[in-house]
Amino acid sequence: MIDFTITETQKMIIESLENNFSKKIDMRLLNEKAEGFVEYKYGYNEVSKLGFLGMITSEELDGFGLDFVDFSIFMEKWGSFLCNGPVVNNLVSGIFALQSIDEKRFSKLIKDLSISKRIITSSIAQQYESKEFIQIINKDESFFLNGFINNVEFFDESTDITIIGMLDNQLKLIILPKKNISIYEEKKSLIGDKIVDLKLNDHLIKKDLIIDLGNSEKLIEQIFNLTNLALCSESIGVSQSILDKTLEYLTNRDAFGKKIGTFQSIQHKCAEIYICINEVRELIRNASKNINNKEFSRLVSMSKIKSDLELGKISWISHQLHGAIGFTWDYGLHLYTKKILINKSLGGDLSFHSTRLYPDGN
Amino acid sequence: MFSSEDLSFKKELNSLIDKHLPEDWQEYPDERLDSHWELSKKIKNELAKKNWIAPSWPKEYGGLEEDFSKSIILSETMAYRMAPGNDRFGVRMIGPTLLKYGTEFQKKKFLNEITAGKSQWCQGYSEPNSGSDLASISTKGEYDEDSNTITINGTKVWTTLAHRSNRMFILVRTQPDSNRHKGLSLILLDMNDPGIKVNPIKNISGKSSFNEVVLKNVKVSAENVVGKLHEGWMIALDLLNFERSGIDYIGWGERCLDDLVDYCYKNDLIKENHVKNKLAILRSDLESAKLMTYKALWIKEQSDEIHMEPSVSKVLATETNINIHDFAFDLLNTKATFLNTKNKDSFAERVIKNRLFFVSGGILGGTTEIQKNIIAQRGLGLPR
Repeated sequence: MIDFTITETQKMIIESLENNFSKKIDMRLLNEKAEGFVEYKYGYNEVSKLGFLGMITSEELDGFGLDFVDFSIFMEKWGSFLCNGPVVNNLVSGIFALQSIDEKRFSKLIKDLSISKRIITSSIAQQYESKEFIQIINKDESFFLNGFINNVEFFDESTDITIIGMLDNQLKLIILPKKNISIYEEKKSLIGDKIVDLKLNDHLIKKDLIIDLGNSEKLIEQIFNLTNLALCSESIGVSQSILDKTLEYLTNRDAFGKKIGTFQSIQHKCAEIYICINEVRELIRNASKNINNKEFSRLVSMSKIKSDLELGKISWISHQLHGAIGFTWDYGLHLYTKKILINKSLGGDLSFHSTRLYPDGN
Repeated sequence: MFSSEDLSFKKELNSLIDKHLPEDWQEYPDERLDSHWELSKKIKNELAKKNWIAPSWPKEYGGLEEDFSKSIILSETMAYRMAPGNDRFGVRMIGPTLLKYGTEFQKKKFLNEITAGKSQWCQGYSEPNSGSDLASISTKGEYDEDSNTITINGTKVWTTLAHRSNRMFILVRTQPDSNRHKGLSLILLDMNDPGIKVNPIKNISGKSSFNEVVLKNVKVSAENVVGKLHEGWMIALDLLNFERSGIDYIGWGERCLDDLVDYCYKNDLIKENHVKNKLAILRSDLESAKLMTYKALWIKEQSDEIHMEPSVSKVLATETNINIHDFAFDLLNTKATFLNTKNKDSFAERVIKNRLFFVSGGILGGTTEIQKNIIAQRGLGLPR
């Protein structure tokens, strides 16, 4: 059934985030954060208060029980306001993973994550893509972890971290309490967010932290896919804000005695931006509607390829359309561009996703 | 996206095409050739027997009142198979326009004719001095109140299939001193009427799929005016929106891409990173363009308003189709430029012929530049 309807629930999500965020975005503070002067985060506590951390949590566990396409639309809006916080990690690497394995067994943890009583971070997408897994050594039912976990966001505010370990040639999902994990290296992202590399050195864990008993490969691939899709949705929201900012500028800025938005060369660039955003958006939303389809990984790879190619391009076009003002730090357009670039750098490059679409020798 | 019922329909449709299309059919339909035209009529006739020509139309006009997804499948599959017999002017342009604006007389007569596979329509919009600037047309229609007839004089050009058509919908200036969008009427013509002369124009690919149509004192009853006399502009624009979804380009592009992927696997090209990457990009482009095409058609089903989505989908579908053919050409190289008559490579031959033909995609039905104007001004609200 071909249907592009935005449901009432989705309208409610959009409206709710617009009402709560449209006036809160503080470009000055975001700029200062990007320079490393302040710690500034907004979005996470607000959506937590609104109950959205439980949006994919089943109704039996007091969540909203919504679908991934709803989450995708949420992420678009989240991205459009440059919100920041471990939402994707919590929902995908946490709640989704736990619900997929055994909702009943993990009901307490799922509930805690849904109300932000516990917060999960992860670097699963990067581990999966780079195939750099934590080695698990089993010594008489005592389990030791060894290896690096790179580029972990939101480590400070998290209580736990989800990681991929390798035991007897099988991938295992582990939810590890943060305590006693030492930071190996600290970095800053392009927009000033703290990122850490972690090192596990004979880190002893209890067996029950390995949350699944069998091979987690399929589940990990699904987490990778959903994380990627969520970041693509976030980038769509960022891109929509870029377009909105650009249109606002072009309809107010005068040159040669008229608004610069009247010039056809400029209008065509705007049309191209609009076309790009909309085609990528529909690709992502369609993938989000098909998470149980056997073609899901292919749909995700196509979404990622298009997001990376098109959305990166539109931000540069927007800088050109803004002229010198878009080149300044204070105007803040760079924050949107950098967010798109950060998302582009995560979750696998063109070559990785092309191979998922067209495996060699097949 | 499609229901199991839709997919069964697609399977049946493919079986019907299999029965009538020669094995290993590699040609884009060229109705200039008698053999292709006969095949077109035959397939159209078979579709008509099953009421499949316009499955979403009301039963009283020969449809099945099916969900519009069947129409999408029909157009896309016919394009993918490169099968003749898909009457886009009748089914996708004037048909929906008559359903929306036509009189009962017009609906009964013309829609039933279309669904019976008995008519071929062509579009009389462009003129030698009016292409993208459609509102500047000068073909005159003189209305005579006593006889309730209109006498048409002028020349239309780039008229695809005029040489095979028995019907034309034509935009004419019926108010003598009117300017631009005012005083225009959309009229339905019988191509066998006296005074109509069709002159073929050979296109870039060596085919004569389009024509010049000269109209000299052609008389037509005012019963054949769609909507009100002198008020045809908005109807003519709405009709263009039916034209612009770009669904055919999706089918043609997908066929070329599928064949190209096969070619790359068979010739071990897939192991080359630049080939694999480009194929993945093109597949992603195609999937997103397809979704936008479906969305444009879906929106058209939901609302009577004129939207910009058909402009978006037309730009995407035509450009994606061209990009796919360009890459195929790059890989096939001299196979596509030095056509070997002894060891014919039908895929290479098709790629170059179609690539040349598809130059028209970004021009007909409103150029890509016009579509971008529409998106920027009507859609994004940028000032004129």
